Amino acid sequence: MPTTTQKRPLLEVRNLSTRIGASHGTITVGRDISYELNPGETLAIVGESGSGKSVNTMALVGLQPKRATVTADKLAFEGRDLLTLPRDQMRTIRGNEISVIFQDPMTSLNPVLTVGEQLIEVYLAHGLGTRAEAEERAIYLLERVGMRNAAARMRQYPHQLSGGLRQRVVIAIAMMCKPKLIIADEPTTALDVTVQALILSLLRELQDEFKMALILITHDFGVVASIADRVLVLYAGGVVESGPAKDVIANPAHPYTSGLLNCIPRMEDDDRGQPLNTIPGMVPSLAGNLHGCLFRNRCALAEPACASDPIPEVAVGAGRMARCIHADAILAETRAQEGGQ
Amino acid sequence: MTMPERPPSSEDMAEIMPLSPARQALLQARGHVGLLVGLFVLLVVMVSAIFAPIVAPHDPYVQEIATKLSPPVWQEGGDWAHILGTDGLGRDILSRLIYGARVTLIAGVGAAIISGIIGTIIGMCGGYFGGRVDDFVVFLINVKLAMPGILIALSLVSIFGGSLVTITLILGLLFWDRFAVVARTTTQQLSKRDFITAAEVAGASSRWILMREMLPNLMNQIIVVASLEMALAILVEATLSFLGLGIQPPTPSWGLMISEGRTLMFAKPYLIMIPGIAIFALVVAINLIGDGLRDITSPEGKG
Amino acid sequence: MGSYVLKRMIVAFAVAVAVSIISFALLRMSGDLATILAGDGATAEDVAAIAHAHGLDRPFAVQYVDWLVNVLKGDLGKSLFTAEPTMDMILAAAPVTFQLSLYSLILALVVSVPLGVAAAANPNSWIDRFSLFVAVSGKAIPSFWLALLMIYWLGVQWRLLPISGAGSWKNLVMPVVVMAVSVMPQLMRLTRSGMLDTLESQYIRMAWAKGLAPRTVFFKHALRNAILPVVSVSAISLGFMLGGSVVVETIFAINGIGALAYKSIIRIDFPVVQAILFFLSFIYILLTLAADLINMWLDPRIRVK
Repeated sequence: MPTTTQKRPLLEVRNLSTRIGASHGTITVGRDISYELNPGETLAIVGESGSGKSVNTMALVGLQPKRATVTADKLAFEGRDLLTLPRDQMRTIRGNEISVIFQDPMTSLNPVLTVGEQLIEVYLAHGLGTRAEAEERAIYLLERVGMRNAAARMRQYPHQLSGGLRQRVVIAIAMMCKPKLIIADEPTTALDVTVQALILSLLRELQDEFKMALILITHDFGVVASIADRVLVLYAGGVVESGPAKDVIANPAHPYTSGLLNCIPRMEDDDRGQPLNTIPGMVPSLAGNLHGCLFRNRCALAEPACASDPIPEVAVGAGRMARCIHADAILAETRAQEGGQ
Repeated sequence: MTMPERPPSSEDMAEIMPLSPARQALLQARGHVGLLVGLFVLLVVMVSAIFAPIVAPHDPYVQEIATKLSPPVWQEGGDWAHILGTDGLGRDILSRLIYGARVTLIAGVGAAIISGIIGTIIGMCGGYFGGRVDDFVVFLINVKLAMPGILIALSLVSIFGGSLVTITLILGLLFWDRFAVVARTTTQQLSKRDFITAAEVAGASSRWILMREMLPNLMNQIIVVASLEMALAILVEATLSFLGLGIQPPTPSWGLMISEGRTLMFAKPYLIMIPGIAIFALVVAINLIGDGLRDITSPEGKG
Repeated sequence: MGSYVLKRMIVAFAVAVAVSIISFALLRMSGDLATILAGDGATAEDVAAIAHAHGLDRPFAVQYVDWLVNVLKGDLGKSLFTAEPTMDMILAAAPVTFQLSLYSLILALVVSVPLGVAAAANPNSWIDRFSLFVAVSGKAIPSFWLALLMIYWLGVQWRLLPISGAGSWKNLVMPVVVMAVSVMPQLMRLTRSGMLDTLESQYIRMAWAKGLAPRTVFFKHALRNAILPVVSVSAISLGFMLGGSVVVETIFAINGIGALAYKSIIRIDFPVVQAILFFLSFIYILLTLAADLINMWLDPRIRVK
């Protein structure tokens, strides 16, 4: 667990679990996830598809799927318990103090409403000022996210904008109410590579400028490296490793993390012909009772002890933890490799 | 590498507990109350229509003036000899209902088959060949939709006369549009699939592809549309007969029975209630079957 | 956008011409309208005379072109029985049918859209089941039977409403309800499925994430998208009711298009039947065109290119 700071964290999550009821039984898509987030900090939540990174994060603001049940020992935003908050109070937080940026800008905007209306309505819904003030802020933000002719853009419809521009609009919408926290769910995945970098640096800039905290959901360690302070690696609904982004990327302590890291195409090894590394195997089914390390069926280091329950959290350095019985050994090995280079 | 946006669907569930599609459909069918009720009602009507001479307690044409307008058995003055009572000419209502089911089912099934064949061929051609052919098919469908169906049916019956055969043919010629729409869109989607491309590359003729590759894959949807069209055809046949431009007396038809009972309906409401309930129940049953089949064959289907 | 409208109008015109040819042909398909007109026991000379009098002895194409030329001049022919111009007969009968159909459509929409929205907002709730029940029974109940049931109970047993005639709003209640029931199920199921699809969409998740009130999410964000197909189907329903008014008008003794059509069909007054078929198709084409224009106005993806 990260060391406690003097200040109260912006967000405290302790043992968040999410279950989805299905006709054949319950599927546990989130299992005892814990983390803290300080104001202005960036946390990356990393995992493959199906790791539960999206569902469990959206659950913070009550946007989990209808059939999902979310439980937690603590889920506090500035000391307010988000789990027991009445719905109408949750609404005053959503879009206002906590904003969400969804993955696909092509479908995040309502096709029948103008860009301007979609910006303004969130400001008005939270009673932050008059329509004129909302418009002024909307135009300012559109300019701030790098759109020219902002006033004209306000009257346009989403289908008239490219994907990159739409994502800028979505970001501007997220910023309308000066949120303290933005949750960005794979904000660049659907965009082209050149646009991806622009959007990421824009997010980073805005975050610094407006002192917002950011939770970035991603499967891409390249993104993590460029933006995150800390990282949380999820596998099959559970945290397998967490810690400062730099340290985790440099010396992963969990076989899954190092597997994911090997999946990033590196510019320097210019082996165009070589296929991308992928972790062999598939995420196991999350139905029924699960025990032991869920990564063991794909792990080269698996041994009988990996099936025993529970796998302990191992503290592997300042603010770092890994949930693997081999964590120390792996860390020693990656450090040695680094030292040897 | 993206998270699914939606909660796990039934497909994800299927991955967790693998079942063969057929078995899954069967399981779902068993749990689908609407479908079961619909099938049961249809079965009862079909069996009594087929075995009408055995099932019917009386001759539907024989008039017994002595016992005319005898009420159904549950009303005062009712008689077990005529469970559902007799009409104004003393004919047994239950027997007329049973023989009338033949007319109803022949018109419904016949019209669904005829319109199904016409619509499916038209729609498949449009969806498969595309371009000009498709433009023409869309045009044909638009023309069909622009024509007031009931009035055309009435006009044709008044010119050709109201026999069961002409009515079935006319209904068949009038209700092919929905088949065409469904066949067209489904064929369009299927055309992009690998097995069709493979057949094309292998040099199969268009005819072979349409009949051997497309049609079997369309069948699910065609059957769903057919059941819904059959229900519609039954309603229209009843309407035509009610308006006097359908099945001609003394042939028993449910719509005609209501028409005949109309003059006496205030004194003897059962004369219109009983055949009306029969039409209603049969059409509900067929619609339930259609909706049920759609639910089972396409888990995504709603509404 | 201009070219889209133009293309749409050309197609509409072509459809109108095709419909007129087909309905013209259908009425002559039996080959001997004259024989039917002459009635039983007519001599061959009588039949020939009648055929000649109505121009039925000429080739089909000549008859059609002749008819079309007259239509373009505004002459839809004369009734065989009253010698009245069919156009006058139609124009006299049309308003009441339009009124009836329009009220029915409004009633159908007022019931089905909120019910569809409520059903979609609460899937598998009692209201969803109720809406399904309404849809299934509405689709299966024969209009003429429903009309008779209403006459029996509302008109005769409970004496709430007059059973025929015109003049008071009360006369309209039963026919309007009967016609509305015939189109309600489709409109409701369409609203429901449209809402369900829309509510699953990403921009609705986004609307929730913005912290908007449920009312705003449902009506401003979801319904505006879900309603698009309902607009087209409303136009089709209206056209369907205009043509289907024959049942309601004959039962409730309303002198509209449906009753006129029925009377003319029974006595094979083919110029009138011809004119009504053409008139109704034409109206239908106009209605779908109007629906497209409304959709264009509602849906910026078509409007702004």
